[in-house]
Amino acid sequence: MTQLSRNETIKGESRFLRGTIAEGLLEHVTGGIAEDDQQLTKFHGIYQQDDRDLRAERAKKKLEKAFSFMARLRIPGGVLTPAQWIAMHDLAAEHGNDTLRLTTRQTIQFHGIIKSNLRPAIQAINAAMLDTIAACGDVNRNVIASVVPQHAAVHAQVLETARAISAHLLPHSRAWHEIWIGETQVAGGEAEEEPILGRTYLPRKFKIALAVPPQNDVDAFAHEMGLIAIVEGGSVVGYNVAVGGGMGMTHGEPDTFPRTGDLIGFCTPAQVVDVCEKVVTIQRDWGDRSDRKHARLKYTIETHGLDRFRAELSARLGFALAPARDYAFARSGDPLGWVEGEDGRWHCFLFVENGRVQGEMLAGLRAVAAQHDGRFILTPNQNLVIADVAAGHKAAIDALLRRHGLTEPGVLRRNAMACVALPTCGLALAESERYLPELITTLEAEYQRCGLRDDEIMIRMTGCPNGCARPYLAEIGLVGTGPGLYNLYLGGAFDGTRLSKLYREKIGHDAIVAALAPLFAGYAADRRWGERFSDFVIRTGVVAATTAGNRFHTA
Amino acid sequence: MTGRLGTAETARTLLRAMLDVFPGRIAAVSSFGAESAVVLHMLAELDPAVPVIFLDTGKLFPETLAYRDALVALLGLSDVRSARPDAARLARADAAGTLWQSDPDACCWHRKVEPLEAALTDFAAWITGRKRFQGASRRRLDMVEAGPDKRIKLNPLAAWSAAEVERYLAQHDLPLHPLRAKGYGSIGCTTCTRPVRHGEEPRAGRWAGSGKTECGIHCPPAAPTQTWTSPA
Repeated sequence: MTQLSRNETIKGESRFLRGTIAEGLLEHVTGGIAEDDQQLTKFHGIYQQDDRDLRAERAKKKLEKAFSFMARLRIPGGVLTPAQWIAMHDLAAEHGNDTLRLTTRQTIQFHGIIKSNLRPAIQAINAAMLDTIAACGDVNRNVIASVVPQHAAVHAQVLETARAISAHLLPHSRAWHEIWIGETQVAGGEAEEEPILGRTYLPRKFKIALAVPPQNDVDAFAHEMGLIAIVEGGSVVGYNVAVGGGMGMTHGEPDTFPRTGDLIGFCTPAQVVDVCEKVVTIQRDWGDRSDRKHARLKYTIETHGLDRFRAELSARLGFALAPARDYAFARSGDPLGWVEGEDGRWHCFLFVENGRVQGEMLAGLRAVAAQHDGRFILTPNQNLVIADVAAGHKAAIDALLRRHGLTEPGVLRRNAMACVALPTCGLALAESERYLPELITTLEAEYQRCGLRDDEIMIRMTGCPNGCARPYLAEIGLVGTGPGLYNLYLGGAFDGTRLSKLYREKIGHDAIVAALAPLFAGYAADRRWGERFSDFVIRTGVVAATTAGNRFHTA
Repeated sequence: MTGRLGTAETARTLLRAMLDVFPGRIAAVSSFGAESAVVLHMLAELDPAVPVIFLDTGKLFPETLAYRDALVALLGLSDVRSARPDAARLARADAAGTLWQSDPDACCWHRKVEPLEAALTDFAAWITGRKRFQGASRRRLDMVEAGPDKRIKLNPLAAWSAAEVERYLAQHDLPLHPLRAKGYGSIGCTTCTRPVRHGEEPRAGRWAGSGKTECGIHCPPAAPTQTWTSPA
């Protein structure tokens, strides 16, 4: 038998995710925690990081790395009350780096929490009726859902389902409550079990997204499971089920690739939690626990074949999924600006550049939160919706946003999305969040020079190939390979249904602009009526269409 | 960011993207002048069958013609097309061949602008070797010039410095135009080109002393006012 990966041993010996985390928090000699515990805190939504900008200087002074922690919330569907938003703002100001980072999994990340502030920070989160359980690690991550408050009834149903799935698949371990909140372990109490996840949890992360067509804001095919709501008569009658999507890959290892999920059928709202549970247990039992780069559900399905996977799912469920229903996606990304809901309330989709809420935007949103009685909804594209605004209140909110300079971005910027990368992310090979705004400024100038004005193009960047910003589904994807260098991918469909293809390898800023400017010019001159940029570059042969994940690396 | 690193890589990337998006519908226009070998070499590496349009005005230096033939053979360019003025029209407009003295703009119009327009009819885009450092009229040159109803123009060397051009020529061991040795920095027709003096801009020897700096192929076309009109 192949050897289990190191993480499997750590998980197995962790006493249900406890390890020596609690002891490590009391250790004042270092700002970090033990290596094995760093794997375990992920299951509690916490990552040890360090400021990579300071590494060289601190090494010279023989100081340890500038350790701090990132904490990520679990917010199924991304809905917060204004009071929760204010509490999170306070937390970031007091214990973090005074920014809130909205992520592609519809949640908030806090950066720069030093070790001694971790417990107070998590306790503040708990006090706001939120948590960080299973926000990272080999578990079901935050369940994301389309942001469609304008369809209030459907949105409510989908949110309820997202929350039910999230709750059902949570670890049963009380470790999070003990370590961070101070709950005491009942001595001699009942032995813990993980009936769904198992005592070594899942082989790798597991992601679920719920989409409400025609919106594909969640990128339904980018996750282990995409659940596509089928709406009839204003109500969700069930979900099409897609399995085996996933973004991450490794440069130079063609056995690893992004993959779009396969549609395998339809289930009713009453069945959907059970379907999720059974897919999770198949992955728990069949997933590769020897090689973490090959451990996600997409590889399990590639290895065993979709037919065997379906048969196993039917066997575990005790019924077969119904045939998938018809549906159509129109777009990925978010619409921006005010949208009027079916019930007459208004919702403002606010652009947040790369999800980083700071400075004037933070101040502006706090002012909004102070007088808003609706909801704040985080989107899967790192934006924010001020939802449920009464018609009579809209002008006041609008005035506040304008007063704080929160206006609509240019046409390329509005669909541009970057991951965090440097200086905090340990995986980053290149800049992302700190560089994309500058690149977009240059590209918008080229775009306008070609006579393009209102044609949306989806651009996404990540600092490494793991794909947090879902770059392989973008029309233009840039993935860091080294300092200042990126692979350029083209041809991901605007509606999120087709992966992209590598176009240029390891190029810097000037060459990125040089590669894209002629394509903008060609698009402006030769596109067909309504043709998307990604469809244009495929029709004209600039890149071939990627028809399946396992053909991602084929020319 | 990497900024100016890899200038040649940037130009190559631009050319490749252009050939990718306009396959069969893009041509290079070359004077086979002082620095033309750079773009021609890059193109030959990417696709030696890309059409190259050469404007044979009838008043070129014999050295230019010889250099063209040598470079074409060396690089293996397989589709070099000479665009010449229409003989009948030229006979009417410049019978004595002295129009360049009285009206250089009109001369350029008949010998360059019009023949080029005809040669480019079937192309959606064209490639030039212009650079910002060449003079004031080119200081704000973009790599891609495009716009509604405009033929797209690609200037892969726009941001290059003179030193980068020379480095590329040397690195790839490309032959130099023979008139460079005689002090010519930019080479057009025999009638309107002189060598440049120390400290002058490279294009200072073109239409020197006349205030004219561009032949017209890179400006919005303006037909000469007293031009012939074709008999209906």
